[in-house]
Amino acid sequence: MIESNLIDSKDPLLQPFQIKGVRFKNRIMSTSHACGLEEGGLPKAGYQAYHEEKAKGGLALSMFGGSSNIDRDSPNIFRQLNVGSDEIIPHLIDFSEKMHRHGAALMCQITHLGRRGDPYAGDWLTTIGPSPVRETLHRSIPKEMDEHDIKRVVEAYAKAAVRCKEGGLDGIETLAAGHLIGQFLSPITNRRSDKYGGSLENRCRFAIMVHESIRNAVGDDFIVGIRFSVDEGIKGGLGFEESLTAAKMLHEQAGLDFINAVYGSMDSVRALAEENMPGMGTPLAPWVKPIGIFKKEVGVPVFHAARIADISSARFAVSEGLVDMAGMTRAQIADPHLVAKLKNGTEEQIRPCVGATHCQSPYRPACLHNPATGRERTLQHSIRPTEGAYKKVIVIGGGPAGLEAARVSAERGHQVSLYEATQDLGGQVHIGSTGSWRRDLIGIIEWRQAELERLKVNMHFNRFMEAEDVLELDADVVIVATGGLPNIDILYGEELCVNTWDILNNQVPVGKEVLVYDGTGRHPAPLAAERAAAAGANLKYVSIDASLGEELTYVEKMRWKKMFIEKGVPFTPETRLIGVERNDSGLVAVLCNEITLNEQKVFVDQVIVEQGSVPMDELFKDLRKHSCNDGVVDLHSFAEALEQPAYDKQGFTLYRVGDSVSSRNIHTAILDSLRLCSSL
Amino acid sequence: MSILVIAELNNGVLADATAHVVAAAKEIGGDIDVLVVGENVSAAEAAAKLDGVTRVRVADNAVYAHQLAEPMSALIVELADGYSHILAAASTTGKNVMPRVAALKDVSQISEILDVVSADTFKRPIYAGNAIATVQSADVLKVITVRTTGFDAVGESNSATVESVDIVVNNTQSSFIKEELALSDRPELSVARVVISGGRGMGSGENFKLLDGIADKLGAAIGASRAAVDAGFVSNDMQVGQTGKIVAPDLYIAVGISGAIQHLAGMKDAKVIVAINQDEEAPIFQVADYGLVGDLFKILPEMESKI
Amino acid sequence: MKVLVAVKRVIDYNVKIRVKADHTDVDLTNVKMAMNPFCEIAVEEAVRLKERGVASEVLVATVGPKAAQEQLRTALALGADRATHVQTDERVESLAVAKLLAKLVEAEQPGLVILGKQAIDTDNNQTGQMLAALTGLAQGTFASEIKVEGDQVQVTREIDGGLQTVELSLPAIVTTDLRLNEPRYAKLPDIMKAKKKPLETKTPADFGIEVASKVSLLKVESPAERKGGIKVGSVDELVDKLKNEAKVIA
Repeated sequence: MIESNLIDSKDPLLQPFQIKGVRFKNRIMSTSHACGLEEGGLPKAGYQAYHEEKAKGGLALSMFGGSSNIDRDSPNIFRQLNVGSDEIIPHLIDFSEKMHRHGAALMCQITHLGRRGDPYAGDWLTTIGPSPVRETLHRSIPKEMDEHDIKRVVEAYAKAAVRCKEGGLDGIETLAAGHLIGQFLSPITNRRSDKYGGSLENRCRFAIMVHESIRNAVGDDFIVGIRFSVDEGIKGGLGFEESLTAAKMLHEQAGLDFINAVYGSMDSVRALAEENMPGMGTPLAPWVKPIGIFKKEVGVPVFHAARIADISSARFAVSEGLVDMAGMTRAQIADPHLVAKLKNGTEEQIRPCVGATHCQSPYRPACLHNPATGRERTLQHSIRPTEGAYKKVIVIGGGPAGLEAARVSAERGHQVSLYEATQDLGGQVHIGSTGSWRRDLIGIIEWRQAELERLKVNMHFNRFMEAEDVLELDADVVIVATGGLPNIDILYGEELCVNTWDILNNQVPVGKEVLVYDGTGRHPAPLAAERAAAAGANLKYVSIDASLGEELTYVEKMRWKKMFIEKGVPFTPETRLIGVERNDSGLVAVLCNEITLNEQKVFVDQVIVEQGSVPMDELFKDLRKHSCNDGVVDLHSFAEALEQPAYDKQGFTLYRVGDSVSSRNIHTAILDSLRLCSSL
Repeated sequence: MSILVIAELNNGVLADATAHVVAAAKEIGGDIDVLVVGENVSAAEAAAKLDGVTRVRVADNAVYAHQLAEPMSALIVELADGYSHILAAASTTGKNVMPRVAALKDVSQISEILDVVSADTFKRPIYAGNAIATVQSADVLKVITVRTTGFDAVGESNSATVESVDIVVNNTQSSFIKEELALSDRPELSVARVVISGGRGMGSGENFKLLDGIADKLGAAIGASRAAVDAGFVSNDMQVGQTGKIVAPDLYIAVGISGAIQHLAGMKDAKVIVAINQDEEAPIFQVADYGLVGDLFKILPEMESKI
Repeated sequence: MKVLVAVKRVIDYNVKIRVKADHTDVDLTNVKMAMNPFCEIAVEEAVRLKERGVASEVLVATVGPKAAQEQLRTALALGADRATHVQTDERVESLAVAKLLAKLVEAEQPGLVILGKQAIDTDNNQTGQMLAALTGLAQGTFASEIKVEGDQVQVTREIDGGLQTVELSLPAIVTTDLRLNEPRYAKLPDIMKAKKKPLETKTPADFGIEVASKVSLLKVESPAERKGGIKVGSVDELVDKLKNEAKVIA
């Protein structure tokens, strides 16, 4: 319904922007992040392919190399690039050629971690900082820098900047917030009494020296900016007014070409999760107002990311003059082609960022529901149509695995039909997104549903398929994506227990004295606990793991921890639920501490068990003998996303994906199907 | 042809709807009788004034109090002979009683006609008004409910005769317990016929009060865009859009809403969309039937006074 | 007592319909179908009566094509005990459905029959009332609350301008309105269990009922096309358009 004439010179996001001699062709950029693809501190083929995909997609500016290290005592502890050595230059030359070819500008983030480093990593050198104050997150207590250190680091910044320039980049940004420059700026981390500490002017001195040194080394044309926090947001830290003064001072004295504005501090999980990169269920673009004020006061171009997760937030931020370039970093991890879709009037086809923060986990940059991100060399963002025969493909199951199998097969050009047993699509995602702060998760399903409608896939609901039903359909390919059912197997008494789905689906009312047993460290158990707490239950939470949400990203873990603290839910770690018995007044849950092996009995009226799922594989097993491949997936072809082998035998080929194979997660369910069907 | 119109009453007094039903009867053509049923009803005089009416018949008895379906339909069935059409407003009373009449006479009913094509052919809405069906009835007796907004009310310059109907039926099956007037609750967002939503442009939660007057006058539900919810203006149960509620009202008024795709997904099936925004390039204007560019803080009060 | 629930297979309420090019009907090819939302509420109410011990058995029935069995299976998954499918591919109007259901009522002698107040395709709002007439039973339409007390049922009804409560003697017919309850969803484990519950198929001929209707559908059209987006110059103009052109406000 949105007409193409919207997508012309009138869209504020599609207006170009200029800084010195560099033209950004639109207002959409990606901000620097340590994307997890570096090899030996270098941006090699996989790293470049990941960024190039976004350039192909049309973004104007890609900033890469989150926290790239300028010197040896800033070690590689979270997959950072090394701009402290000339070795990187040829790779940068390659990289910048690729990106420029697509019309995208390229800049790098360079830094010294200071106390944010690790003395037990890399070259095992002590971390350094303005004062010996421990960084909560990365744990180190730094050495107090002396004049030599300061001089060395200032020169290292300049040399690193020069390497970037020689590598053909358009510019760089340094890092204040949380990094060495910011550690000098903040009164919390800078307790010095020499000329580098005390007054704001003194605390800015280091930053000014760094930027003057860089400017002298790279000349005037090269763009130099800084990632800067407008407000540390913590007691005793650098507040808004001081941050503003510091920024103005820095600009006056050393000249800033841009400020990449952020809000908050950096040295705790809470700050990262709530301020820097807020996740699912938090407001969109939460900091644009203070950043807009900052921008007006300082008078330099401003870049900003932080939950600008969709086009309309970006458009708002830019059109209101609050930011100049909108950092849609995670949004382009979900869909690297979002600019192209915006341009050609298919904005509604943009794969949404649902805020799952999977791209911030150890699995980064993989998006929870775009497994091609970070795997550009083997998986496609745009599925190429098949050059072979069109096949009749039947998909059974409308959860994430089934939906992806149907989507990819349809994009290949095959004739696809999907059969879902219940009234709605979504499977476990449907269960996990209802109620609670995790509603946006359903975006994973809704996008696929819209794609299947666009691709004219036949979807059938309320169809619980059995073998005869499938055989009647006479398909060429049958993909079973029937998911699983909750596994509540304990030594004894599971018939007395309920599972998390029962609670989340409102099929069983919440008890009064409830024990939630978490055997997976995933979302269902804390979700059930949240539901039980909301229903007023007296709740006990027992986990086999040492801490809450072991399998979750740090943002999600933090969110659950906070809720548990605020609701006063007691958390018992490293304890196994052995069994459940009935007594006169209710149920007895028998627990065993994994450390001491002591048993304990807890008296409740309801036990909710979470232990993942057991595959619903009866259909698959029944169909095997009718298939030409006995339902076997060739592992090598599968892992490489190559075409599965053909078989001489008569019959359809049968495959199985997602939780119907084994209990895993959304990402693997979708990855299974993408790998299987990309070359179908 | 001879048509019996069941008068729509409001506490014994003739409701406006009746004049619209008589209009529909006139389009069908023929003699028109109006039947007034109830206890201690005073509607006969007003009914007699309606243009086109030949006769007003009044059945006034305790058994007809509150127009319960069982006795009322039994009465109408007793009187049905000689009529070719029986019409009532598609009110809850009409909807409650008329199908019972139709089944007792072993004929079909045609519900909620919008238009009379001929004495046996009518147009009616289906699929929540997203399609219009033209149906033709071969039944000897046509039992019909009428959507009153489809017909302009007849005038009141008539003086038809009024006679009483002495038929009293038995009712041992149902009895009236109580009735409560509607609380001035807003309708539920997902099913409201009219929705007025505020977006980021409202500026604050306080300012959402500016929508109250209009919502009250239009009997509308109040919604919000995600941006307004995220900004903390209103709670998320008011959110219209992809992760909020999907609505398909007859009228959707978007105030200070830019028109994000996710919001449009939640309201694009509204029959009529109005957009009020000060940015004339806002995407919402692409989907609006009527767009008004301007300052919502001036427009809203003006609109409230002029509806 | 036994409770009989009648359900209908209709288009899913989220689907945007299109009229066929030849105007003979709405285009239903490959369109998502579902149980009529008011019927879901009816099933839910019946199942709750069973859970409370008021109903001993819930029997669900539908009149429609073979595919309508999906809706019966859903009802069984939600808690109904037995299902009867009266199978026909013909267009069946409310009167014929009511006649068929009247036969079922005669055979099964339920204490309460619950139906949705209207189907969202035809929007007739007739079947429950017609069934009540044919069986000579009392009716409580547009129910927002149902309370069974002995051999009576109190039904609170949503009427124009408010709520009305009536008391009916059982057996009685009740039709559901939106606020009666919030239905549960049929989940996979229940769907699997429901496969074993009995479902019998009959035809209208088995009951001696002719389904042909005296009302014929001549054509189906889209409502007047949206008059394309225009910008109005003032509040006056806007209000005028809404009142007189779009006719959406009084």
